[in-house]
Amino acid sequence: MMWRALRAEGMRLKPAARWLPVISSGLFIAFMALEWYLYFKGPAGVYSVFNVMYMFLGFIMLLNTALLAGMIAGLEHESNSWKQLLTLPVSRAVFYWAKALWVLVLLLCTVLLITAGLLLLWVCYTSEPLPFQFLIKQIVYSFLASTAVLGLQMWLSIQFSNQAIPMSIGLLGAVSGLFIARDSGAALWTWVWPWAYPTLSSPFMAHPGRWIGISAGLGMVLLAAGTLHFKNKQF
Amino acid sequence: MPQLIVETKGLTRRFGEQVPVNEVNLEVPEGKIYGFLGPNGAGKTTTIKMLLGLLRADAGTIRMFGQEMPENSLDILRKVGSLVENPSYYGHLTGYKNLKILSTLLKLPDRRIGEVLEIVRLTSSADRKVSGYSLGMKQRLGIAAALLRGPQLLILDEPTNGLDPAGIQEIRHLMLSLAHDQGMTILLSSHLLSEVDTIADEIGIISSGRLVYQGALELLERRRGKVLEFAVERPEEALRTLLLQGFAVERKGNMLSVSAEKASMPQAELLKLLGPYGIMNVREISKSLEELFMELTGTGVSL
Ligand SMILES: Nc1ncnc2c1ncn2[C@@H]1O[C@H](COP(=O)(O)OP(=O)(O)OP(=O)(O)O)[C@@H](O)[C@H]1O
Ligand SMILES: [Mg+2]
Repeated sequence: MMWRALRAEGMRLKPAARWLPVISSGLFIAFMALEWYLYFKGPAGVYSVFNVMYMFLGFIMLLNTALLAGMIAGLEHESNSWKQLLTLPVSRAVFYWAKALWVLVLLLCTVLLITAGLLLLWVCYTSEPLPFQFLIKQIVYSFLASTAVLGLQMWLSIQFSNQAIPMSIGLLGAVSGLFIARDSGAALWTWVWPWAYPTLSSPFMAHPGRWIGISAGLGMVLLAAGTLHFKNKQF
Repeated sequence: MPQLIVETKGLTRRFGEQVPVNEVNLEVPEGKIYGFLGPNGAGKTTTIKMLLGLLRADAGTIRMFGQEMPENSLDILRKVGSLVENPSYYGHLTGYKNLKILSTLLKLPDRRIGEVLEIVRLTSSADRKVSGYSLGMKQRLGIAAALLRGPQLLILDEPTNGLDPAGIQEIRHLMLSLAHDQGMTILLSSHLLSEVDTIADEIGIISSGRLVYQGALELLERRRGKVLEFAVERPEEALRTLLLQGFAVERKGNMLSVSAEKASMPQAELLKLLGPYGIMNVREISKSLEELFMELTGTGVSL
């Protein structure tokens, strides 16, 4: 059933949701190239791209999570489709998870495109050795640490029929993540601030694994709670 | 006695102070077309949403196909096709793709999509985006979606909304053939009695959340009263005589209106009684079904 739900979800995906990973990763790479071109000259400067990524990777992942969840859930609100879908002999949980998985898949596409773009940029720009493992870690960690926000955004986007609300929350959260990145230590409140996790789980930080674990755990709890709430939702 | 496909007992739903569905005992027999009637805001959609598990009931029980709803919702919904209020559609996709999404979820063969498109006569527009469809075409697509799984029970909430007279006629023929040829049970809501009285076998009338009538259409017809109008030469005396006999009479000039509650009103007896007062003219006025409907629902004169 899950497989069929995933296929049906893919069929009705809005073009904007398909293009978002391409456009966002394209902009991200272009931004990196610009920084390189303008500020980081010379063989040593080339490595500062990792610092710039540290600042912005979390932001782009969190923003994409909010936008994708908003587009994928918002489609059913705006097309008035919940009542049609939920009177099919398919469990509500299946719909909820199919949507969450599609957000994950599209985030994964963003990860792959950013990785590929950076490799290409590196090869074109410099002949310095590339710390490949570090690059992969940096990108993949920020993706894995977005799970908590995914759980939260799915919940909000399904409950609110007006997507301006969850998307604004997502944007503000992602911006807050930028500031946390500038703050060196992890203050106590960042423990419960899901938008801090992608920055905190950078390989530059002390315990990336811990934050990924917390994010994944919280993400699962939020997804389970969201599913339960959705099962009892009335239309 | 045929089996009941839908049976509710004391079905109640509140929204704050309001009770849009109040102790409703719906009985939809197998293979029949059930016209679920009521004016705007009577509680039709709310009732239908509870049948489909979209809303929870505050009190009462629902049995469909002999099983409890919503406890057995997946089993029940497998046999039910529905269209609630305005149709659902993905405007950025074609009509075909919209149905393909449902058929994928329902695990049906693609052949089914072509069949239902044919039934609602959308085959030629199947490859156009639904955002470009007219209101009536969207409604047809909604009906096609409801028919897709070949349901045993079809629940349609105001299906003729936005259809032109030819379209309404077509939908009526479709309902008749589905019910009579394929034995499908159809629950059909409307706020116009005239819209369902030609096809419905059973009627349920809901008003302010209460089911004020339920039963066969013929029984309803029998309940509509008649009024006999007599023009007589000496109305004063005639009036007195009739009142003495216990008739309900109204007088306007030399016109006397005698309302007869039973269809078997002894017209001959009246004629005999009034004979001495010089009958000039007799007229029989029967209340239209629509008037009866308004009486039952207390909506008075329509807008
Ligand atoms: N979600 C809701 N919250 C509050 N009140 C509601 C809600 N849904 C319906 N109602 C109220 O319940 C009453 C019945 O509404 P319902 O939609 O069932 O009527 P209806 O018979 O389908 O009318 P119509 O012919 O206009 O479609 C209305 O007075 C409406 O205001
Ligand atoms: Mg309604």
